[in-house]
Amino acid sequence: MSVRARLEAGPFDPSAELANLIEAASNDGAVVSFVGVARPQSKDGANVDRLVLEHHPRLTLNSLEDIAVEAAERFDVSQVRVVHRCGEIGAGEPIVFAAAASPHRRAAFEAGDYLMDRLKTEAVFWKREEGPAGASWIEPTEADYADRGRWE
Amino acid sequence: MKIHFYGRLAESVGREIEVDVPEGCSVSELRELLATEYPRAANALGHRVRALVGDAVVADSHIVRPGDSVEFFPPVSGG
Repeated sequence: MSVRARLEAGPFDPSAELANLIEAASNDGAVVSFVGVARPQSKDGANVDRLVLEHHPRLTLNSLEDIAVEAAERFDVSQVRVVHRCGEIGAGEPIVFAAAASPHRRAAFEAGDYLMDRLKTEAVFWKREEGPAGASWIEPTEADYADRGRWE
Repeated sequence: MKIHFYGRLAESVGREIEVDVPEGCSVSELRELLATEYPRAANALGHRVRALVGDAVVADSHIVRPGDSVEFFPPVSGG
């Protein structure tokens, strides 16, 4: 079992993360990964130049680690990975890489789904979209909280 | 007492402020005190904003002490 969570202040390469995980999971039968990417438009259609993810000096990484460990405990997986950006992220850049490996695909899919539902509502970040029309804070929606609730 | 704010709260109040709080002040009384002092933050201090003391989430009934460092967290969101 290997569980790793990392906070990145600069750009990272999701394909390299996936390649490393596939190599580490050579004895498993399934690897599932998710990459979240900064959108160029907000929900109301306004152009977005960048996303700014503020983080907490201690609690942000702790929250990523807790979520990764709990995914590993809950599902029949051998590997869990979370890489999360902080700071300024240009539209089109990766924000998050969440992945799991398992002997069987179902557990890997479920672990990936669980990781993202928890990251959306519990990872300690404060998210702001900035564009020509100004800046606006993005908070979890009721749908995000309902998705999180599926695992209780 | 030092109080730290994050996200939209930091925008309307500042990242860190120092306030004098009366003895036996609860977190909920502290919220009211801050809302009076920073009317722009009054709404932002309510719904889903958690209070932390020493990196642990505390209830509104928690009594803060003079040396405490209190942090107010608006809703968090990753991904």
